[in-house]
Amino acid sequence: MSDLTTFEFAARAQNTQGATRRETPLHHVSHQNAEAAAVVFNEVPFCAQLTLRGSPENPDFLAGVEKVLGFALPVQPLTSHASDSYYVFWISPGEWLILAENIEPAVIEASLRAELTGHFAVVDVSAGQTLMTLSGEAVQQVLQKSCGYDVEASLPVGKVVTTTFAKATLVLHHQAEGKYFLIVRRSFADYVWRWLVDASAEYGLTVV
Amino acid sequence: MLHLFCPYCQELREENEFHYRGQAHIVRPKDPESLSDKEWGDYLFFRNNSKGIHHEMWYHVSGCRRFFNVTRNTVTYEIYETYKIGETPAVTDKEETE
Repeated sequence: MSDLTTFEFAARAQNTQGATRRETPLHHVSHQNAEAAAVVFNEVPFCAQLTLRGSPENPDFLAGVEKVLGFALPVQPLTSHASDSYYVFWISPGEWLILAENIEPAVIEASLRAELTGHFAVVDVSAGQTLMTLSGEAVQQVLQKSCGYDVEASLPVGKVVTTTFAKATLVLHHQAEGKYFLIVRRSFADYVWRWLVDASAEYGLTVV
Repeated sequence: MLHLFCPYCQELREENEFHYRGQAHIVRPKDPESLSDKEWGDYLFFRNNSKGIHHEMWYHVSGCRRFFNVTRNTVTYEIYETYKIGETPAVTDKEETE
């Protein structure tokens, strides 16, 4: 028994590949795609995610962030802003989530730290949560089954809410007409995925 | 299920996004050393058990993760108002203000 434990630890420590193996929280999922799929699921691997905190009443903070991102932070509750490189979501008063698919999180963090001074916080949370996209004809029905939030009436394109999904907490963003972003803690990713498989069964699910 | 208006999200949300965090407006004594055991015990453990208007704290745990205050009727469960931390309630019990 002890041999086995020792063996696994030793193998991990030595890392025979010679490099750190990166795995997305949902790297293990496999799914038999439905022929007529009305729900399309995708996990966007390894996108940069940073939590930014600072006072929206501090003009220096707002100006510094604008200089890095190229646009002003969305300070109104439940709003978001997207550019070619970044998505920025309002999470709480004084808290934003920055998302980028093609920029390394360390690069974003360094450029924010270079511009900002005083009372602020930038935390790289890329490894702690994952981004999933959900689209397709029946996407709204699936979301309505899963959230208490009124997705149909209260979530127009561009809006972002942090709410409960099944029994997990996630950030839900209506990215484009019929396309939603789901950002969830990695420990909840598998649970949300299994929930989605079950909730989409009657419509047909495809993973891309 | 209660529907609570989060003053930070500016939106009505369902109760399961929130946690109840007890009576609001409890101020920590500035100089605990000088209090008697009775006064310190009152601060730590004793809470109002009012019938009618009650000011209480709620936590938007599955949303913006902010604390805020609610004025609720403990008999009818009617919610009169929700307001941010640091603000004073508009609806108060007559006896309470005297």
